[in-house]
Amino acid sequence: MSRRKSRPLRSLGKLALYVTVALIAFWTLGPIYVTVVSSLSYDSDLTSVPPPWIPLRPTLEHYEQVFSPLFNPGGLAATTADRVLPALRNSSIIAVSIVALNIVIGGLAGFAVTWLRFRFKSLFVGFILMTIYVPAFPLIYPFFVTFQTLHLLDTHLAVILAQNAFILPFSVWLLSGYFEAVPADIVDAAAVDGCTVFQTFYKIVLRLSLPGIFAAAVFSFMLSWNDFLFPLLLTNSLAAMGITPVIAGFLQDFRIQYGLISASTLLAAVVPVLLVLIAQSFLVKGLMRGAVKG
Amino acid sequence: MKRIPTGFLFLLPCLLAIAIFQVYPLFYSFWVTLHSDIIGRGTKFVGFQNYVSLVQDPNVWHSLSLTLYYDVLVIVMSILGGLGVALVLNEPFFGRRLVRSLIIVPWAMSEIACGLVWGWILNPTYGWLNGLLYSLGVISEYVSWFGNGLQALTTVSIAGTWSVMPIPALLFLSGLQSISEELYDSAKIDGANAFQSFWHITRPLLTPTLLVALVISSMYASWTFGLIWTLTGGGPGSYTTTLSWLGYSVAFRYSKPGYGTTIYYLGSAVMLILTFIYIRVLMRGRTVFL
Repeated sequence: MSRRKSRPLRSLGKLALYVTVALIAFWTLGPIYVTVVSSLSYDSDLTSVPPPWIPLRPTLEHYEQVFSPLFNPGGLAATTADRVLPALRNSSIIAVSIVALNIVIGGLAGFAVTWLRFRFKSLFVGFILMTIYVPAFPLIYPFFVTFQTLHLLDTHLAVILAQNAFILPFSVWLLSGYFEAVPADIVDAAAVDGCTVFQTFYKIVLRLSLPGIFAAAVFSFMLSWNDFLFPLLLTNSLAAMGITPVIAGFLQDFRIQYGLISASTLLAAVVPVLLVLIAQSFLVKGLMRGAVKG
Repeated sequence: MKRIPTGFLFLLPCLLAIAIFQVYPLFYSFWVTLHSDIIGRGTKFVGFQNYVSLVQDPNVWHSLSLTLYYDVLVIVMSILGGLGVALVLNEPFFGRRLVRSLIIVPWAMSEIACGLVWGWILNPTYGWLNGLLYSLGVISEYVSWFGNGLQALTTVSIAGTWSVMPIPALLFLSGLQSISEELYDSAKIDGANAFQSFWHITRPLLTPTLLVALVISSMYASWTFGLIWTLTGGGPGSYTTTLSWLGYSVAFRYSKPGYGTTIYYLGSAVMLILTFIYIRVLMRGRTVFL
């Protein structure tokens, strides 16, 4: 600020700035704070009026409920809380598979998009990027029937295959942005030195784009982990059902346990939130590429 | 020697995955809309009957208007809110790095997690919002946030805005940082005030960012499903039955997948039209819109 302002006016502006920042922080994190406090409170305290602003009698009861199957294995998923761990396991299996598929298939495609020439290339590339706009909802019934016919309902594979097609275009788009930034000299030099096309991809382009691979991995993980529609329709038991339908199902319980719901919600949210926080700068850069190029 | 070009081979797995699991179901879905289908009782070809029913069905018009109402609320709040947040976070203050990174947290949570969090805050009997407002003396009795008519959907849109706003905010922030400081300096020398600088420098240079932010928040808002599931279940009455909820109910609860899928086609059309409008308005002349 080069413009001269009187001292009181400037500190007034500063004060307004800090008040606004505090409001933004309150809006963003307030709901999460409430959930943390609820997850650490007894249900009987949660139904007091007004609610506890801080955990007056903190307890890990709800987390213990969730993790108790670990300590007495072999027990059936008898209580609501027992459903959380198998659901987290299913979500992990599905999301990790999605990441692997997206890095391999999306990486190969991203390399073709940025560094290889062939006939009808722009047609194929345009087709892949256009599918970003294909919504999942009209396709859910066809998916349901197809997987029913193939006897794949209620398997991880069904959810993986369905999600993969919708997440892939995003990964190709993110990855090709980073592949493009690899200097052409290096890629050309690799070819001169006798690298095959695949070696150039694997040894040069991929290794010089690690931030991009990380960004694509986190983004595809998050989209898979947070998806509700496909696991809701394609699974119906803890054999394959992920965390989102399971915690959504807690609301159908006869007695809704808000302490347990809060703890499970936080457990479901903490994985993608931490990953996104770590990968944030790469992710925003990747998304901005679309903003700059239009 | 004729060979398949290497480039095509690199692209092939991706093309296959999309062709099998997106293009094929897309054609299949069109076939579904041409049939009257009760799950488990075989199908009957009905031509475009589902599309005719769509136009004549008052429930569809009701849901369409609710969807548009919800879209407008979420889009306007998240774009304006996101721009405001970006402008604030672009100023220097203590702890800026931390606030900038934490701002993304709601976006990384699933719609279900978001709905469960807000459902508890907005609980009419034990919820924190009522408790807070009552303690501060803002309200004299507890409010039923999902109580009547449009109010319920308005409440859902607050949760929706909370969850999508980080994206416009971070995109705008990133856009602001890419604008050269010199532009503002020379504008200042020419005697421009803060508003004039914003209007003549910031606004036009953020237009491409705005387009992306609009498309993302519209896609998010138009297909809101998990939030409705956790917060209202379509009610009270059918006052939060947006197109995404109506299509699901018709297809899977009332066992009419043909008609449900047709309703989803309408939802997709809304999305396409919105995107088309953004591109026309924003890219024709940069001064037309915000």
